[in-house]
Amino acid sequence: MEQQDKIHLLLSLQEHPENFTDEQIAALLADDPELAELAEQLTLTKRAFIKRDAEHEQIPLDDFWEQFAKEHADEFDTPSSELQPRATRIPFLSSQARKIAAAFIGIIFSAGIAFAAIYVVRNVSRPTPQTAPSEKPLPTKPATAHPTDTIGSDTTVTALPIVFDNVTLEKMLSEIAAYYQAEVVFTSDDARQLRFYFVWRHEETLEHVLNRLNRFESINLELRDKKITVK
Amino acid sequence: MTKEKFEEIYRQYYPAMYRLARTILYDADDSKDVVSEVFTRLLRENIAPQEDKIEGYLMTGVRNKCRDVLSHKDVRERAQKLYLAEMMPKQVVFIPDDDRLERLMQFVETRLSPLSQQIFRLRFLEEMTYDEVSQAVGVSKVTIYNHLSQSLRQINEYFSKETAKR
Repeated sequence: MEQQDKIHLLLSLQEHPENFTDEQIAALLADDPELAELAEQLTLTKRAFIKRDAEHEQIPLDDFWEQFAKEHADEFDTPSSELQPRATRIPFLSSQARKIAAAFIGIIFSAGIAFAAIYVVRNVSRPTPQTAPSEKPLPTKPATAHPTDTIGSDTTVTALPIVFDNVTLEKMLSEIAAYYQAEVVFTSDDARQLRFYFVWRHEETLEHVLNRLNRFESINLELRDKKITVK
Repeated sequence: MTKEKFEEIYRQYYPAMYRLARTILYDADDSKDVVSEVFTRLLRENIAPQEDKIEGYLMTGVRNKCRDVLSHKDVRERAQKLYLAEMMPKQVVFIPDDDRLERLMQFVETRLSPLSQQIFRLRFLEEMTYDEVSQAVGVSKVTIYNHLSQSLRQINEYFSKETAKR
């Protein structure tokens, strides 16, 4: 076949592929390297044209980003400053709150109205009922937004995140698992007592929460059929 | 990854990713879908790639995803729309670098007549029929055919020289 015939064949193949079966097209290209080469060259030329066009195309990045951020709003991590595992216990109360607590303690001793003070402290820190007020005020579930400005104020999330501050993995996981109706199994007892600082938002998927938890070096979680295994 | 960090990456690489997808898939909407999917995968990655690996991760992701999309098109559609990889069954698939396409386009722009370029564009990019091209340009169908066939011959010569150079 002359080159002109091949060009003719390629043009008609391209114009009227419905006149050929898939097998015929494939066979034609496979049997004739020159024809396949011509087809490739034609294709590359089309791509070169498209590339030129695409270079001049305006991309509305702002709109695209906004759309993407909206669709994936619950998949972004909270800023990494909040994801650092903390080896030592971090006092729960901020210095300001501690001053207030100290003031209350002052009242307890000076006025002796212990009952009222305990009531107020409970409202502040929400300890579990068993925790005696004189012990360190370790909250298991401070269901308040953490008063830092690190949580993006422009995020579309409306529900308040749960902040686990120096809470054991056991308590943290049981609460998270309950929400997603999953089960938790510990294969090592050491892991139960690990304490972390972790921010959890209800609108995250369970997978996503576990993925984030797995970034702590000492945690190894696996999810299978709504069962979380801690290794 | 945090939203702020992700936005930075998104804005930095979106244009290049989109353009790559366009040169493979041609269709603008398909290309946007592919880019979004690759970004979504990055977002869901357990361990994000290192900073200096992100570009490679994203561009390779786009290529693979495009290949995926093309593999679902049948042979005839591939022939008609001129999708690259599948036009050459059983041959090594390679994605030509930007540079190669750039040089090819320079050749086309300097050596093919403006009318030939316009006809090529209408026929292969706008996917007009010979009749439609003939009406749009105001020349006969035979002339359209001759221009296309002449362009192909010139492009073939260009490639022969390119290959000989190597």
